[in-house]
Amino acid sequence: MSGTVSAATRPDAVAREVPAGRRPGWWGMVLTLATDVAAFAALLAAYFYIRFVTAGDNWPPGEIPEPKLLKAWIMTGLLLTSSLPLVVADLGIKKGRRGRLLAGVGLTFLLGAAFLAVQGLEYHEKLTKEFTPQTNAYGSLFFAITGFHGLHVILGLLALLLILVAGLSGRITRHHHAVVRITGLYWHTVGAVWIVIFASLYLAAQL
Amino acid sequence: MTTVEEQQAADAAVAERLEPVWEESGGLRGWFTTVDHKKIGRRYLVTAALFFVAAGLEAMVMRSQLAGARLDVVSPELYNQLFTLHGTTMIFFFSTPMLFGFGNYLLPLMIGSRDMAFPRLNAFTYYVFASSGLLLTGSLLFGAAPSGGWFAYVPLTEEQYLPGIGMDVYCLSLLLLGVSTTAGAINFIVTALTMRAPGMSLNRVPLFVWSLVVTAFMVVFALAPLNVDNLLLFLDRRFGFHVFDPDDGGDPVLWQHLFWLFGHPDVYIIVLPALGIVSSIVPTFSRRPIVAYPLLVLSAVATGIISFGVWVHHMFVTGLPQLSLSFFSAASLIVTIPSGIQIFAWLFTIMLGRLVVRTPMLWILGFLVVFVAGGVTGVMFAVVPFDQQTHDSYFVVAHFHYVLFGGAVFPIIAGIYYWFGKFTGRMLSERLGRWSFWLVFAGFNVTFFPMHVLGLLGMPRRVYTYEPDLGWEGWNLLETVGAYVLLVGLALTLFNVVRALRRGPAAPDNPWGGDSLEWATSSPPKEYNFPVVPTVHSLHPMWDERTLATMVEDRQDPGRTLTDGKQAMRTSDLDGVPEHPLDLPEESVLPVVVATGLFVLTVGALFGLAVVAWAGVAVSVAGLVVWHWPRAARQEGPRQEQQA
Repeated sequence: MSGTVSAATRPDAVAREVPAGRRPGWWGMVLTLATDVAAFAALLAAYFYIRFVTAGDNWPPGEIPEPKLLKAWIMTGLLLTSSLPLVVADLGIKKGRRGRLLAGVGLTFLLGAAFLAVQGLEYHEKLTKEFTPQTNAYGSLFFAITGFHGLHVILGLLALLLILVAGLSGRITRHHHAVVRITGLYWHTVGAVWIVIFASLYLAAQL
Repeated sequence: MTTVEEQQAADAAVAERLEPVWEESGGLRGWFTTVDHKKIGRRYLVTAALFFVAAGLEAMVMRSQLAGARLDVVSPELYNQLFTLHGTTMIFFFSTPMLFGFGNYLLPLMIGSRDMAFPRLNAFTYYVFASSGLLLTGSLLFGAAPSGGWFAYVPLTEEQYLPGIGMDVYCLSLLLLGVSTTAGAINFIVTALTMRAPGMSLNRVPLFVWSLVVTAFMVVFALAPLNVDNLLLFLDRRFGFHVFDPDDGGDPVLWQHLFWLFGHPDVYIIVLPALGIVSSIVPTFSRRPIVAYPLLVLSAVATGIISFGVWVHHMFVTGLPQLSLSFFSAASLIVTIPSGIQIFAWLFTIMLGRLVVRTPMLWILGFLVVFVAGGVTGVMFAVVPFDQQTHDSYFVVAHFHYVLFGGAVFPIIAGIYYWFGKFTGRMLSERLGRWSFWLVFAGFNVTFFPMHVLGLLGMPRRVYTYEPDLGWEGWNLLETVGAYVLLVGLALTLFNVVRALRRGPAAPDNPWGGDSLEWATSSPPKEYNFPVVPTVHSLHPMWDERTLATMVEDRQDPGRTLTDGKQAMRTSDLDGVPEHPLDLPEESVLPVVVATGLFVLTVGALFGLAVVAWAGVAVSVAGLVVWHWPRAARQEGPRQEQQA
C-alpha cells in the first residue's frame, strides 16, 4: 500500500498530465452532453419561469391535480439502477471479459426499456384522465420536457443495441472498447438529468 | 548542411509515401465523399458568401424602397419578408458559417495538424448548414419566407397572427442550422485540445485559434436556449402547445429571455473569430509580435463569459423590474472593458512596430475606425434611459451595422485578401483591393451614419415606407446612394476574386511574412498539410529558426512524418507533449447520407408529412449506425491471435 503511494507521488509520476490521452471521441461526447444539458436547463428554466413569474400560487394551474409520484419513483429507480450494469460491462471489457460486457449492456437495455414502458403508462394516464400538451402552458412544458428526455432514452437504447450486436460479433475487445465508455458517459448523464426533471416536475410540484 | 537538391529529394521521399494514403477520389464521387478540412472550409466560405450576396441584394431592394417617401417598389408584405430574411441570413447563415469556414480551413493548419479531430463530422456540418440555408433563402422564391423579424417575437409570430409556413421555415431552418453549428463548434474545441503540434502548449496557441475555441464554447452553451426556443415555438404553432400563449398560462416574455440569452452571446460568437483574424493580420503588417498576448487571450475568455450576463439590455423596454435593469446595465458596461483591451493591444502593436499598409491591413485599419464607432454607440445603449429613448429606432440599426459590418465583414474581407493565396494558390490584385476598400469604406459610412440621425429624429426600424412631411427624405436618399456605392465596392472584391482565380499570379508559400504555421505549408497546401509535423518552440513558429529547423531535420523521424496510414498526432491537452498517432477516417459517403436524412425530416415536419419525416429519421439513424459500427477490431484481430 505504501509502495503504491510512493509510486504515485514520485516526481515523474506527479509530473505526468492527468488525465492523459483521452480519446477525441470522449471529449466530443463530453461537449455534446454539455450542450445537451444546457438545453435541458433552458427547458427547466422555461418551466420555472412560467411557474414563478407567470402563474400565480395555484400550481399546477387550473383543475390539474398534483402529479402522482408512484410511477415516477419507479421510473427513477429503474433508470438509476440501469447505470450499474453498464459500469460493470465497461470495467469487464477492459479486462477482456466479453460475457460481462454482454450481460451488463443487456441488463441496462432491459431496465431502460422498462423505464420507457412505465413512462408510456404514465403518459397514457395523464393524457386520458388529467391533461394534454394542448390544455395549457403547464401541460405543454410537462410533455415537452419529459418527451425530450424520453427521446434521449430511446437514442441511448439504440446505442446500447448497437454495442450488444457489435459485442456479440466480437468487434468490441479489450483493446477497442471506447464505444462502451463513451455510451456510458451518455447514459449516466441522461439518468442524472432525469433526477433533476423528477425533482422539478414531480417533487417540487408538491410544494 | 544539406544542399537544396538533397532537401528536395528528402521532401519528395516523404511526399511519395504520404500521397497515396491521403489521396481522395476525384469527380462527382469525390465531391460527396471528401473529408478534407480544406475542401470543406473552402465550401463553407463560398456557400456563406453566396448567402451574403443574397442577403445583400435583399437589402438593396429595401434601400430602393426607402429612397423616397411613399414609394411602391415592393409591397409591405414582401418588405417584411425581406428584412426578416436579410437579418436572419446575415446573422445565422453568413457571419458564423463564413468564420467557421476560415476556422475549418485554418485551424488545423495553424496548430500544425493534418486534419480536424472528426473529419466526417466536419463534412456533415457543411451539408447540414448548406441545406438549412437553402431552405430559408429558397422560401423567398415561393413567397413563403418568414416575416416576423430576425428575433421573431411572440405573440406576433404565433400561428393566429402569422399563419402560413413562413415562421415554420424560420424555426426549422434554425434548428437544422443549430445542429450544424454546435457540431462544428465541438469539432473545433476537440481539435484544438487534442491535436496541436508537439510543443504548442496553451501559451503558444495563435490568437485566431483561441478566439475560435472561446467562440465554440459559447456556441455549446448559447445555442441550446435558441434551439429550445424555436422548438417550443414550432410546437406552439403546429401542435397547439401554449408555452408562449398568455391566454392559456404561457408567457410571451419567456421567448425574449430565451432568445436573448442566446442572442447577446451570439454577437460575440460572430465578432470574436473576426477579432481573431485581426489579431492574425496586425502583427504581420506591423512586423513585430502582438502586444500583450496573455491579456488578449484573457480578454477573449472574459468576453465569452461576461456576454452571458448582459442579455436583458435587449429588453430594457419590456417592463422588467428596476433592479434587473440596473444589474444588466452594469454588466453591459463591464463587457466593453475586454474589447477595449483588445483595441489598445492592436493599436500599440501598430505603434511599436513598423506599419506596412497592404490591402489586408487596409481593411483592418477600416475595421478599427468603424468598430470603435459602433462600440461607442454600444456603450450608450448600456445606459437604460438612453436605450429606452432610442429603442426600435434607426439608431439601433446604425449601431449594429457598425458593430457587425465593422466587426465582422471588414475583418472577413481582410482575411480573404490575407489568406487567398493559401486558399487558392493565386494572389488577389492589390490595386483592385484598394479601390474596393475605399468604395466600401465610403459607401458604408454614407449608408449607415445617417441612420444615427434618423433614429434620433424618431424613424422606427422595420417600416416599409414613411410620410413625406417628416423631414426624413433627404437622409434616406443619401443612405440609398451610399448603399449603391457599397454594392459597387463589394462587387469589385468579388470581381477581384473571379479574376485572380482565372489569371492571378501564383502565390508564394508565405507572401506576407506571417508568423503562424499555416504559412509553413505550400500554397495551396497538400492533402496532408505538413509532410513533417512541426515541433513548435515559440508563439511565432515562422519567425523562429528552431521551429523551422524541425520541419527539415525530422524528415527521417517516422514519429514526425507518420507515413503508416492516414494519421495525425495526438498531443497532450495542455502542454502539447506527443502521445501517440491517431488514425483518421477515410473519405466517406455517410456524412451526406445522414445530412440528407435530417433534411428530409425537416421538410417532412415543415409540410406536416409524417411519412416523409419518419423516412428521414430512418435514413439518418441507419447512417449513424453504420457510422459508429466498430470496425477497428477487424484489423486488430490477427495481431491479437498471434499474441495469444
